[in-house]
Amino acid sequence: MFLSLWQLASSLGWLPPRVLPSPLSVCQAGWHLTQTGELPLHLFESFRRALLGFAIGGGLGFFLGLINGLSRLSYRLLDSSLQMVRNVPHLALIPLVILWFGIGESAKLFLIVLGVFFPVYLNTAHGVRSVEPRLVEMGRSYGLSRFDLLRKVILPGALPSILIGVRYALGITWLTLIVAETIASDNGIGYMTMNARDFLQTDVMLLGILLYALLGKLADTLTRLLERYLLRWNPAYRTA
Amino acid sequence: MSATIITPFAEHETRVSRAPSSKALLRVENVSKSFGANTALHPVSLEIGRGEVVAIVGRSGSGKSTLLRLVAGLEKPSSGRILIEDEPLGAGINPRARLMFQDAALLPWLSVLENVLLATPRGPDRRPIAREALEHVGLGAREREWPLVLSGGQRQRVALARALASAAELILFDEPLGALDALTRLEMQNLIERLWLESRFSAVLVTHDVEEAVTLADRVLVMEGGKLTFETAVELERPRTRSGRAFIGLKEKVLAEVMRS
Repeated sequence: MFLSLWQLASSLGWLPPRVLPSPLSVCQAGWHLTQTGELPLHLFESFRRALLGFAIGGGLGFFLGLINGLSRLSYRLLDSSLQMVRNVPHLALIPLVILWFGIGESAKLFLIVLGVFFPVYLNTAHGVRSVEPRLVEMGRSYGLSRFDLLRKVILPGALPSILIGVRYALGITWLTLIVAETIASDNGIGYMTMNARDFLQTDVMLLGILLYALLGKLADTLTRLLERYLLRWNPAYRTA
Repeated sequence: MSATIITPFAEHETRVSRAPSSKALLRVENVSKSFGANTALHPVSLEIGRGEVVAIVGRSGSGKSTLLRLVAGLEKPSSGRILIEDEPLGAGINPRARLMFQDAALLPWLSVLENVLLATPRGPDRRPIAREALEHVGLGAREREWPLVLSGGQRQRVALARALASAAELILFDEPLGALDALTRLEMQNLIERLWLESRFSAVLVTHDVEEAVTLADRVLVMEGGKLTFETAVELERPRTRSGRAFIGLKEKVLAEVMRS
């Protein structure tokens, strides 16, 4: 419906292609770039960056969140410093990051890692701390080892909260990726979009933006499916 | 525990229990527990024989749950010691006792069977043992279900199966039926009695329901202000009915003791 109106408006000349190209021309641009091999390359690079940054940042966040959720001492030592860093918008660090890492790959990864770390860290620590004490006590009274207690009681109990952190972090990954790739890059969808701007190729620009939306949606859907599977014991998640 | 319950007198031991069998399974010797300035439990001694069910009745905050948690090894006594078959309890959890809580405390992310398996000792016949325990509480057909789809009574039956499958010698019931409706509670009492007749486990039952105590226990103790104040044996035929004159007389007597303080 929306698409056909858009196409109609473009065809009738209400929408000048310089402002908004027709969906058809966006598709043509996509097809053309796929054939030249440019689009798959950029897609692959962006995807690789997102995945790597997400894995490192999410892993660190999960690990520290787990430790700070379990240990009062470590929480008191680390949490307030981490909270201070959290309040700095990570994209505001771009000038500093360029100074530290140059404009290479590590700068982009660093930004993603920083952006992903906090939602995963906060939600993991919160999830671990809010596991029902009765269940932990039950586990203890049934003689579960510390490892089993962690694996069978604490982690599953914290999982709903951790998954919220993951979904939030995925959103931030894409956002950071766009910004990082538009600043200094020679590949990735962000680069492709910025490049197109310089040549006023509005159809390619729009293609880039749409791809971001699509990839973001795809990642979100995947986590939702994962959530539904992992939390299938909870009636609230089964139908949602 | 409010400050008014603490007695101004010097703490003295209250010994009201006697050994019912030649060798006691559990012996509590002069055990007390304080939380800061609050004394939850004055020095208490009691013995529980093999296959005996002892009920401890009292108001909320009388220290009965504290005693149970001490026996389970979830808390450390401030003084005194707890022995199982003449062996003092170590630093950690009491491995020969299993606690059953007021809420079933099932892990919602494990199936009914997996919850029971959690407590079953490792071995080749783990699964058969867990299945049999579920069969005993009448939930054999629902082993694959999630705990959240069960009713309160069914969840409590799973918890009971878990305690039975754990091969514990002593089951500690902490108001296990307190959260159930009256009818389900009666059903559960009958079930526990039937299971006891089958396997003769030893148990400590903490409850504020006097009728429940008289129905299930061989001995009823009354606890008040962190002390055991009264004890009576329940020498009634099993399975018990709640209507006989002896039953009602005993119930009234215990109730009067609880209300007196």
